[in-house]
Amino acid sequence: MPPKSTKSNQSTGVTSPSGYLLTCDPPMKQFIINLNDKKSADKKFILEDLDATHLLIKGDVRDEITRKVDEWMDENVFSTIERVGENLDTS
Amino acid sequence: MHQNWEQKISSYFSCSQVQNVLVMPAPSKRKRAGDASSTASKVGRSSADSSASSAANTATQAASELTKIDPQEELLSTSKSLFEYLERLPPGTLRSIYNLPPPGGATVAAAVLRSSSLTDIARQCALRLVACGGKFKVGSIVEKWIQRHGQRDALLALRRLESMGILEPLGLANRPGQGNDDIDDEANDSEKRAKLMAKIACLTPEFKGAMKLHLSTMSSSPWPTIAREQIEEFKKSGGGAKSDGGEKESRDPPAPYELELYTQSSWDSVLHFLVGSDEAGKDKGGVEEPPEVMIQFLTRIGLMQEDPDYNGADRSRAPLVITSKGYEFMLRDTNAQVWQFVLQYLNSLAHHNMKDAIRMEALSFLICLGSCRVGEGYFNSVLQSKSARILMKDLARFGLLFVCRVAGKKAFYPTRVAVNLVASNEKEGSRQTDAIGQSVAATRSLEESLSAPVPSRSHLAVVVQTNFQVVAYTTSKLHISTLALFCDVESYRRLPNVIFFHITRDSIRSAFRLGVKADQILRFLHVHAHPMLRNGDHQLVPSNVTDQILLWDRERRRVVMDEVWAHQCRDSSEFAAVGQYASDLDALAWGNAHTNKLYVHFGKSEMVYAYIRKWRTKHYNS
Repeated sequence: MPPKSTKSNQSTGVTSPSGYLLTCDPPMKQFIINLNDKKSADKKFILEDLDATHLLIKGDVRDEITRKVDEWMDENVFSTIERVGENLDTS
Repeated sequence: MHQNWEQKISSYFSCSQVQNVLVMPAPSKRKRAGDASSTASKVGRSSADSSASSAANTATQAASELTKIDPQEELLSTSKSLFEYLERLPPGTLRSIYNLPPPGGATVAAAVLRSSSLTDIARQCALRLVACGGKFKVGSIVEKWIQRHGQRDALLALRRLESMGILEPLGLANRPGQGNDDIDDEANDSEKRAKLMAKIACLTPEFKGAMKLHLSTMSSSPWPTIAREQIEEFKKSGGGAKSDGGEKESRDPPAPYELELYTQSSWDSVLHFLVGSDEAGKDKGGVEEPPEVMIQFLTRIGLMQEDPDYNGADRSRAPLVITSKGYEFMLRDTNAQVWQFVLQYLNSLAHHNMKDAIRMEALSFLICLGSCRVGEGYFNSVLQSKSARILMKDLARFGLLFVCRVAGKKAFYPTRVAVNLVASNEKEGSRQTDAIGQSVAATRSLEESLSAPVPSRSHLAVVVQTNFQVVAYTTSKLHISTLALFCDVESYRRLPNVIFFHITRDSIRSAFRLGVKADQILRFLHVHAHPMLRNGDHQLVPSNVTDQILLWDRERRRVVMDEVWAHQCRDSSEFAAVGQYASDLDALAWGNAHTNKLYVHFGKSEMVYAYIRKWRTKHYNS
């Protein structure tokens, strides 16, 4: 079987990117799917749901995802600076 | 002749007007800046290039020459340690290093033999060959000496010996970085094998001579050390009185902790400059600005750059700021930092017409220093050639040597860093975390400075507590700004000799954003742990803190996004073949065996695509 003629645009060896492969843990994947669901139909960014830890997404939302994920993780941090003993701060 | 290339080295190293920046940087420097040299005064924190005078031209010329580097030199310039550097030299150069007059050649040969460049088997082979006259049949070596380990290891050992210039070429040689597959061919192909086995393995005369000399010398140090009696005798003969003739006065040999302090302070000046702490250049007790050659080094290695936010009209006057590579550098231990500088020094010789001779001299001198003991001194007169003496002065500037006058003659004392440059590199692979901690002299000098009534500037001792509080015994602004890279700066408290910091998620994350890595932070905390922690069986950094820092680091990689190219295979055999090829290339991102679909990293997609086309013509057209 000869190679398909439809691939003629690639016969010069030029390949075009299909999107971005997003790798993460399962809870994070649910969070990202949730982000996607909240968007209107024309702004959905998930191209393909591959498996529990992989998604294929559009490239232009990468910054947004990183930002939202950071915000989400920041919400889940509970830190108190313990001040054991005397407070030596003289100011 | 000598005169000529001596000048050339100096021009690579310093601006021509200020050739004599050598020896101890501290007292002479300010005077020099005052009296004449316009270059020296202009350097400041503006770029060294700013002086468009002829002096700077030499330096920039050298810098631009450095940019066109041949592959061999480039390989050398990325070496992480002294022995990696040696491994990358061509065997011919190594052979001529072994051939240097004593003590150079013999010491290098012994150091190479001891280093991790050779496997245990290779070491055995080399020593046995020395003992049995230098010649032996390859077949006998492989089959009789090393049976147990299998012949592949034996052949690899021989190849390594060959590439290190220890054996005469057998036709096995292979530079590091290439695969070992052909060794398997060699072992399996019976015809080739028989040919190889019949060959005679022969030590190079250079290595054999050097090794014999080394084995038959009595003393462990390369040069005769300065004996106590010599100093006593000199004092008795009233040698101290002669100092009126413009010569500097002789002094007592430095104590080990004094050497340690000297090393630390000569580095401090460089590091202060890097972080730009305003302590530098202050009159009282402040650390001097490093010599301008150092500043050139810093820009050339990429640790500092001209401030990209500088708005002034004259770009060349932009102040220098630290780069992320510089932050990384700060958190490394002194040995690694010094190696960077020595490497630059060796590289700066790369375009010299007598580069090989000088480089050989430099390497053998460094290795000789490695077999010295800290606290022992040597008279300058042990260095025969003039280039070695220039080298000695240059190395003194890096803090590798302490130069002074003892018993009426010039003498040099190797410091811990010089000695460890060789020793610690041998353990490079084993992820050695506390290089400083293992040095007794270092610990003692730290303890001494901690117990001193008036805190000195050069020490740093850190205790990390399980509640993420960092207690740092230091008075130096430099150490504080290093700690502030990854500690919370808002919540600090301080006492005259102690500063309390907290490690928080935010502070660690801001360090990560600067390009600092988690294990650099941990390593820094390990290296500078308080000496009292080392005495007990405590952990230097509590494990909850270690784990948390690593978790914070991992958190940043929770979501990874890669640009990919998707390929739909026609059947499972294509999927298997392409998948195999892509994973060998390290290009496979994800694959699904049910749908026969592959995702390949976009950067390598063209190579994979080319393979697919080849595979398809082969399998579908036939």
